[in-house]
Amino acid sequence: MTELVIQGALSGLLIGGIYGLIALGLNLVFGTMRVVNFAQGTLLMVGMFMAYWLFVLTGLHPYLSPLVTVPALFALGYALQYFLVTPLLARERAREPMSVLLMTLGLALVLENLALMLFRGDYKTVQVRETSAVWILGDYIVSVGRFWSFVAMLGTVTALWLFLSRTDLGRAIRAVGQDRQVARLLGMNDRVIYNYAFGISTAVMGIAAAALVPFYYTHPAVGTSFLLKAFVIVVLGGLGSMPGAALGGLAVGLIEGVIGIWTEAAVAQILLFAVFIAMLFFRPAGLLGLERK
Amino acid sequence: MTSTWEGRLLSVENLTVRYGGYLALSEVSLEVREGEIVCVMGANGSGKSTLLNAISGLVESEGEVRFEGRRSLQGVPTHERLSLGLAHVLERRRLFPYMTVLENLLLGAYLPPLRSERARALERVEALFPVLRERRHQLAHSLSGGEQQQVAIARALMGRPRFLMLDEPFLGLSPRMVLEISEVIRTINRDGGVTVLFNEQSVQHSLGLSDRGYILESGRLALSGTSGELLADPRLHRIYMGLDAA
Amino acid sequence: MRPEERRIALALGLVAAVLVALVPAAAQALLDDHAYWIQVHVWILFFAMCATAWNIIGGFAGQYSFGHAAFLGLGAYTSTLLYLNLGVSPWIGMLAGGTVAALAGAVISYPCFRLRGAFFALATIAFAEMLRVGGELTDSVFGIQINGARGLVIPPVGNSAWAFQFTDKASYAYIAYALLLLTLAIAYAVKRSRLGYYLAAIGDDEDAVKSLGVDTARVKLAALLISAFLTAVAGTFYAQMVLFITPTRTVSLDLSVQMVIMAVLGGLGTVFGPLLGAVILVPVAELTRAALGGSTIQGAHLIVYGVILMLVVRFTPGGIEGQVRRACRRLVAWIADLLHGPAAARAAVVNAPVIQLPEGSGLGLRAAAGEAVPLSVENVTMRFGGAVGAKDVTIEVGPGEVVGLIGPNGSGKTTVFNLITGFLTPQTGRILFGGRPIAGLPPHRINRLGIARTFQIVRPFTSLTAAENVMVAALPRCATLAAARAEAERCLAFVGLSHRLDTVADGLSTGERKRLELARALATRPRLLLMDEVMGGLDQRSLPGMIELVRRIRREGISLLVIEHNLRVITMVTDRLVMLHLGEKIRDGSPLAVVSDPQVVDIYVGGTAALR
Repeated sequence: MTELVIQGALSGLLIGGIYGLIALGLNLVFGTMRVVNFAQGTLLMVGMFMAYWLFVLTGLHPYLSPLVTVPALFALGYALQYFLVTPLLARERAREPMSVLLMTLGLALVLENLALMLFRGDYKTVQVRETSAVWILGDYIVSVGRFWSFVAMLGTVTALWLFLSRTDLGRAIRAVGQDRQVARLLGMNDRVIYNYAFGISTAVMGIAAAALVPFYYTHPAVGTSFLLKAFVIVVLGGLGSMPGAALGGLAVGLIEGVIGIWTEAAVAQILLFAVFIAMLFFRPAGLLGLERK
Repeated sequence: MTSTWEGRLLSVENLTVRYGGYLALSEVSLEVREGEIVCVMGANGSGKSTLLNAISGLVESEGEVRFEGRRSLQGVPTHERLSLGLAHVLERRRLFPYMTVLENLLLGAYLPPLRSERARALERVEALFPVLRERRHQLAHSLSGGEQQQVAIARALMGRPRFLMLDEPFLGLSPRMVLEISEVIRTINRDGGVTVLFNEQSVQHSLGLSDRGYILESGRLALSGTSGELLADPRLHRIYMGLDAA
Repeated sequence: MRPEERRIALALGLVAAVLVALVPAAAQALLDDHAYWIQVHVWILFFAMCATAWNIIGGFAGQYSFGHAAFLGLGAYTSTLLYLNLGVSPWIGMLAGGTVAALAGAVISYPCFRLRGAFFALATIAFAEMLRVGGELTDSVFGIQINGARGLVIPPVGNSAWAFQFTDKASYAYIAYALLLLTLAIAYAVKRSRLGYYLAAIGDDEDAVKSLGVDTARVKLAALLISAFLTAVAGTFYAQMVLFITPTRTVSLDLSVQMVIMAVLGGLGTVFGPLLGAVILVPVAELTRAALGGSTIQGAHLIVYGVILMLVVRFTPGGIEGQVRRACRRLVAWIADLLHGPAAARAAVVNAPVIQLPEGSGLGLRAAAGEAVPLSVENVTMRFGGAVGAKDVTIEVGPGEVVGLIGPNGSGKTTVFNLITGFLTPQTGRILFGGRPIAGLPPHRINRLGIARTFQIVRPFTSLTAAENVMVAALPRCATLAAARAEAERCLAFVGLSHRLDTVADGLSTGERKRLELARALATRPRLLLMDEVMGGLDQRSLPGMIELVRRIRREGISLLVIEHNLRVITMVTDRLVMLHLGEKIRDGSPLAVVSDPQVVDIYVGGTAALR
């Protein structure tokens, strides 16, 4: 029994890395612009299809796909912010504008259903060594693909954390999120910085996609299921908090993994939503929410 | 660094600001010469902050703002004004609350041309405000009001401005802190060669520190002159306090 | 609108309604594939019903629910289960379903109404997803078979009105039509009721509504209950039309999102907007499906929905209802001109820049509000993080007394107001009004006890007219809308805004907004009025009028606590002054004594003695 629980926890923790990555992207945009991006999951899906087709057409290993997808998704995110979100932010006075939420919802509908039209709704998988390879550690089995996704998450969290706390652009992104007027007075062009923030948050989806494609199915609707979990994680870990997103992701993965031993994964989902609502109600700043009053 | 332009660093001509139907500032003209400390006084709602915000481009205005030579600032976005040498500390300090003191200061020298000099600039401002060195890694929102004001001024100085605007620098500070900040402003001006324009409600704090002053009343310029002239002017009490001198 | 225009509009509306009703019959007579066209017609009516119901909470109250399909599913399942297990007619089941959904709404509202904007949206998604996934996993509840994801099939019984089953699509069209008319009528009634006024005002500024004595949580709850009930009714209709329901199809996120998109496209907060949205989007979906090769691609129409949503958000954030309404107005006016000759030019509204207060009687506040009672703020302290807002402050305002509160910027004056009116709860100390402790009561309760306030930065409900602004304040104390309107007119006349009754508040000048806010506060029949810088930001010409207005208010016999920066003005209108500095009270006495006190002059204005 204990072994089962530990095995479940292990698998859950490893998949939790992916959740953490998606939440990280979501949180970067929320933390800076107070914008809830409903298209975050769909952008993950775009990254997955890019990685998939790169593999099918050129044989590029998905783990190398970020070389292409990260710059491409960064450019896409930058452009989305520039053309779709900035005009709305310029118009709205509210701190958390609903119009941007509706805009990204529209975008998600378009992208997801466009993918459905172009690529059909069958489940596409990529066969590489990491798809089925496992490591046996004593009594426990570790999926190689999941392990590398976990490493990718740790690496990305560390890189993003260093970027946000040590570089000028990273600090500027946080500064604009905390006080736009002062940031302007100190010479920061807030609009351009928003573009970068959105671009980076989208680019992170390229890494998540690369980690996911070898062992997960690629499907137009794959983003939506991850998105809802990512929202739970963001609220759990704290709005705008990068470590919070990572730890929240692990926590959610852990809960899923352990509960999955006894019952269907869907039960874990119900539990997560219940936790989500309870968190919103009792601790809206999140467990680790720092950058928020 | 004497300007060829009659020594004027900033010249404001007929500046008008409207918020909706409300005239916040009406045809205000003033000038600040290189090396001066100038204050703008007036009761709450007289348009003091609006004036500074219009000069730094945070609010839209009609009229002309010229800076350094004859260059017009109208149309220059706010984020490009610091590189011209114009810095502005907003009312109530406005630090980045969830960043450390050090991060706040470093962001003061965000512009690429300033970054190479950043270590030296940091040394300078920490010499000016020794307490900031001890507080380096503390989150800004946990500081006391006086310390926050010091960080705010230090952050602006990191941008190496020629011209510094301070919006109500003494607001909510203890008398001891007021003296300390006043002394710093004098030092910045005298030793650092920074021209200062600040606004303040209190006549005492303002005219004691400044060379010249302007008094606003309901968005219009009511009086101006050297500090000595203003103090001697019998209209000061009536206009400014809305009371006959006690 | 002229009377003849109103008659024409009514006639046109009736003609349109009859034409829509004739569509199924006409299709049956004229078209070969009439079943398809009637089905499209039914879908339009169904989605219009859902979106209209959604709009009552989503648009009227500005609470964007993304989980309304949950109510639809509850309605569908309740009536179906009652029919299958107990043989209850779905007509009765429809009402039961509505009730169940409303109850669910009440449960959900408790955690959700504390959340704003995006968080409310996310919480509603979470609730709906819990219901969907839970439904999919559950085979039976308390012994009642619900078949999990396989869903429930209603066995066909042929034509039976009692069983809500018909063999021809046209019958469903007529029922959908009747239900839609009912839903629209309820939405219209809500919009025109006191609930509608409160909701519109909450959409503009919820805190200001609280300060007027309205329990905003209850108002939003009422809107949610109505909305959930009506959505569930649509759910029963859906179940009877399709005769097969699953959690996946009824409680789907797509369905919730479609309700939102239709309402946004048509116009949030309008009565007919969601209908317009459905009329446009459902046919668009059908055309897209037809163009892209039938039903092989499930989501093709959602691409179009997404594009339309993005365009609307970008270019007409208010939806298209406004444009359509204006076009209809023009059409009606054009017909009226044809029939009756051109209308006479309207009299222009005269703009009076300087306040002209009407001569004559006051408001009779004292009589209406009851005897004035003392307010005592006793040793109240309030800290915000490291900063002190108020430190051991004690202030008395006797019955009928006018007390001024002065102090430099940041001295804690507005904090004291927020403490008295319940927007803040003091950490220590007591606040008594008429001997009764009020600290910690919610703002609307404190207002009901007789304390009204104005805000330093005026907060009118910008989308409502001046009269409607004041009506929101008067409604809690008035039996009818007409009474509230009369009261609003009286209060606006009292402050000299009679000529602005039907001007939208957004178009008022700063001075007018200040007076509007005073009228709004007076309409709550206060015994004590807190005025936060009503003179601030006024130009010199309108100052005397405002001073006169304050004097008139004091002649009404109520107590006043006044924050003001202009010392000259405040000494003219008050009996006593309290001076705050850095959150502490430092002086309390007669106006002249306080303003000539050297320490006060020193702090407040700056003494000349210490200059050199």
